[in-house]
Amino acid sequence: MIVEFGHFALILALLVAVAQVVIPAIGAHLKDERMMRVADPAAVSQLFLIAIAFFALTHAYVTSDFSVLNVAENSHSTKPLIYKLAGVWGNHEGSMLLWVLILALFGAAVALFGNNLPLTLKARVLSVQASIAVAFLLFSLLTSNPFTRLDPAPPDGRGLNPILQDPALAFHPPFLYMGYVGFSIAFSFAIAALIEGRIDAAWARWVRPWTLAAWMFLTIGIAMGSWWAYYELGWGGWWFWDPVENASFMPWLAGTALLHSALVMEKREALKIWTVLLAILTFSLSLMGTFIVRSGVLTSVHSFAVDPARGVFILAILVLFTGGGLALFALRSKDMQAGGLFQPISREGSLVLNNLLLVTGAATVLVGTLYPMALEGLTGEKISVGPPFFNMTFGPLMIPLLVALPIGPMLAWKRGDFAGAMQRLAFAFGAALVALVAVFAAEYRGPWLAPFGIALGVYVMAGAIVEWANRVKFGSAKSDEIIRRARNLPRSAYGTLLAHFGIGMLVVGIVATSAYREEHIQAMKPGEQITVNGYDVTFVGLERARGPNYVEDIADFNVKRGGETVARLTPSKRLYDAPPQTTTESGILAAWRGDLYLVIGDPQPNGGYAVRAYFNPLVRFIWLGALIMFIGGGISLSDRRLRVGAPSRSRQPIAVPAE
Amino acid sequence: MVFWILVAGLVAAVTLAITRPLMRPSSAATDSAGPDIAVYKDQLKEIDSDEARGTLAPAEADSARTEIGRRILRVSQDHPKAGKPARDPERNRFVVPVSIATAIALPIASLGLYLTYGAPGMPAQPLSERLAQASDANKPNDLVAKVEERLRDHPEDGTGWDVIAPVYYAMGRYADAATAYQNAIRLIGESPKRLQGFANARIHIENGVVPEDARKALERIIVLAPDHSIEPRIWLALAKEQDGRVSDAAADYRKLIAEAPADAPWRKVIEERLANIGFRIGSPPAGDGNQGAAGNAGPASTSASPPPAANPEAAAVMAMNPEERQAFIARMVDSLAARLKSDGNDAAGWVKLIRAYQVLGRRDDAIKALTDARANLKGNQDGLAEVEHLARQLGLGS
Repeated sequence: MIVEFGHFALILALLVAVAQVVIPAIGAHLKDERMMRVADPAAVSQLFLIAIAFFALTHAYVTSDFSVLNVAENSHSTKPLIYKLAGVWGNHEGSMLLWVLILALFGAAVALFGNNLPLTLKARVLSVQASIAVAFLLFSLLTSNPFTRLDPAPPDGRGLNPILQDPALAFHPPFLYMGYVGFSIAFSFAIAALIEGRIDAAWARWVRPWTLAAWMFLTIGIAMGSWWAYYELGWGGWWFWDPVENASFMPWLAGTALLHSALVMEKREALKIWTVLLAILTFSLSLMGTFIVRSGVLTSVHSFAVDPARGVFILAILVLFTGGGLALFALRSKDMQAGGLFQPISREGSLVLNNLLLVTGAATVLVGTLYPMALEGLTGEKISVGPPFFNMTFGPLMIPLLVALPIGPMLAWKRGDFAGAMQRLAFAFGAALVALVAVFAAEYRGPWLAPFGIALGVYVMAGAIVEWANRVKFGSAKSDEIIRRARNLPRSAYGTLLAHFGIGMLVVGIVATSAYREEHIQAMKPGEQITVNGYDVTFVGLERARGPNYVEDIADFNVKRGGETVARLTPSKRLYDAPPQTTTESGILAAWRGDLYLVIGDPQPNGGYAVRAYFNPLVRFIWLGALIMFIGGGISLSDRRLRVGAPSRSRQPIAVPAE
Repeated sequence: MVFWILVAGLVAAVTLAITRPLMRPSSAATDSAGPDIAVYKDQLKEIDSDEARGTLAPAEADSARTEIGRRILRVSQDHPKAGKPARDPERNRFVVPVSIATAIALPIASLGLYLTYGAPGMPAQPLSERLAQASDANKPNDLVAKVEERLRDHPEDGTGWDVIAPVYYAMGRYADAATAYQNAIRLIGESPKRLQGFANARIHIENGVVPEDARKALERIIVLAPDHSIEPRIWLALAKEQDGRVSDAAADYRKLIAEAPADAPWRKVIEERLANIGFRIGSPPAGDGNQGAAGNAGPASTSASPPPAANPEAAAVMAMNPEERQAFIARMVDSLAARLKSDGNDAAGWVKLIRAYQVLGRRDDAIKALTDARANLKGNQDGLAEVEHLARQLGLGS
């Protein structure tokens, strides 16, 4: 009964979404307050109904109800509970349900927390948001219904792809979707503003928290995906320029650009038209990502043609919203007034540069992702555009961005003082130079470009600190004065500090681990030893054990450093029962200076085992940097200024230090 | 019944929630500049504090204030009626019909759609309930647990391993099945059934690839029980195919087909495999597909037939045994000759025919065909040149 109730709730959610599109839109047009107010309860009901549906499907997974086709195809009775839960979104139908759930979550959040918005704008935003929901709910119900039943039920399910049975992977889709789908709010705001024909500084401030929230979750979602790839795929790599990764990376780049251009718009009312366009494009890239991942074009352009219903449907959604958004943009943008003027060397100018580079970067990734698919579709030829392409195109684009990153915040609005900014960054340049010399001294055998890359990362990190130090007058004021200033600094300033610092860490981690990675692949018999970057690794032996739904060959390695045992690593190879597939579980010894990473391979004819051992220097910096960026986003989000205008909240005047 | 009560409750609650704002009297201003002005006032305060903190020069602060002031002014102009409720007489005309339409459409449409797409009345079938319904004797998991426990205490009980192995296999626990069969073989000896079970489990684990240990087990079955040898032989032939020994595999397949009773269910499978490897025999010896084939044919026949790999008929030919193939080719050549006799103006056809005779070793026929071609292609300069070129190439003389 619960399953059927969930199905009904999903259908009702579709109808509520239709009402949410139509009634508030008419209301906003007629300036009728009552009709506009329908948007709020509709958005909340929609969330409630989709949550019921989601709960019903989850319940079916937990109780292994194989009379539900989706459960039978993707679950198995012996699977551990957390993977039964994660299995809900570990498949096409379930993940689309999660997609609409999060879409509704954002809609309801605007309805509940958007009290500071003008009524017409809010009604229009929710109306546009609901139109996206209608499209995806229809997609879900018509082409990928998670509640299709089977009678009689099969004795057991087919199981979840073992490679997905892993905590990080199981729980990163919700974060990733929060990011992807979160940009729908920016899109809805853009469309609503275009319909209203009024875009100004206030609009930029209202849209910022939503963009920021989406950006945060996308950042952490991508980082979790990369972390999973690192320890589960067994190659020690953390990013593969795989189309699925690119699908989430493109909206991230565009979203980062949007975050910065909205800043200019908020302060100076400049870049208005560009910001709106960017909001439309960011969500279009999210939709494109959904299309790439969900339509089947990924496995092959031809598998898309085999089962066209889903692919064509998503393509239609993509065309409708991107095309519709851009058409409206073309129609309305000429009516918009250009905003404030500024010199090239200014905060605005630096943010324009940031936007240009980020958007070009996103375009590069787009070409690298779509070109092979287009080629296969047109000529049938299969090529793979691998890391070399992206390293040669995307990499160089990011260098000027990183060089400019610490300079931008040092420049004043309108007209900046470049020489002054350089002077104030002296500390950052010094730190970079020290890093450069230190890395050259330690790794004098090359590669030659890597020390410059690390120095660049250090420069970005130091630049973030310098900017903060400048604002609290570190060095020129007394210590209690500094503390007071630091306390009074708006939270968004700390958000910027952390996010920029995190980027610097990320760069250091990426360069260090790509350039100085150590790799050993060899056959080892029990008792044999290899040395990896100062660690003496001894292969003790191999044992077979049974897990909840797999058989596991666990290798035992004793890791010594300077004669003392520091760890025992147990990489293993698992063979799952259903479906019978093998996965590798790596053994990782994490440390600040880098990870020791062991993978056990196939038995060799002479009785040994193929062992791959890596040392990935500073690899933790990559995810730590992303985590710091996520935290920075969160702190910035808590800035009280983003809630200005909310009638229900009392505002406290900020304490300004007396001078 | 409970289900329908819940459905009715849900629809009623949602409909009520959505239409409630429509029922209430309109209260506050709809088109107020309040939120905008709040933001701008806050920006003004920010400038004050920035100036006080010394991060903003007084002159810049002033110009920023002017800028924000202008925004406030513009917003106030855009909303002339700010603060007053916009009393629009038009609005009443829509509110009532919209409320009624929503209240009617929501229940009817949702029920209609659900009855179309849903499975009303179909109960949930959680696994625990289904297991409880089945009688205790039929609970494979319990039985397995019992035997497993016994085997933990008596790991030398070969019969126990022999009993549990096929159960594991049926449950899809192939790795356990392979281990169990292995133990049974070690403890109570080889039998065709155990060896076959072991091999099947291993093949399952490797996703259909026949691994070395499975191959050895299969070979043992043939030695032990020659009359049970069909299945092992099929797998061994497949193993050869997987090893890349395609022609050996093809020979084995042909032998199996030749011995097979006409109604053998596996016959069709093997025929398919044979046809399948026909493709592979067809292309690799010729080099890298297209290129190699064109190279063999020589520059003269760029317009000639496509390479054999691209031609399903060629694949079928490759799959035949030598005699059949010979007969098939002879048939093809004869029909080509007959066609050219009736319609001689086909240079490509003549080229093909001459080449075919040459390949089949029928040199006299080739020379005769060359003569016929010259006679037939009198008016076709290009075609004639092509045939002459071939003749020189094959050394058929003039």
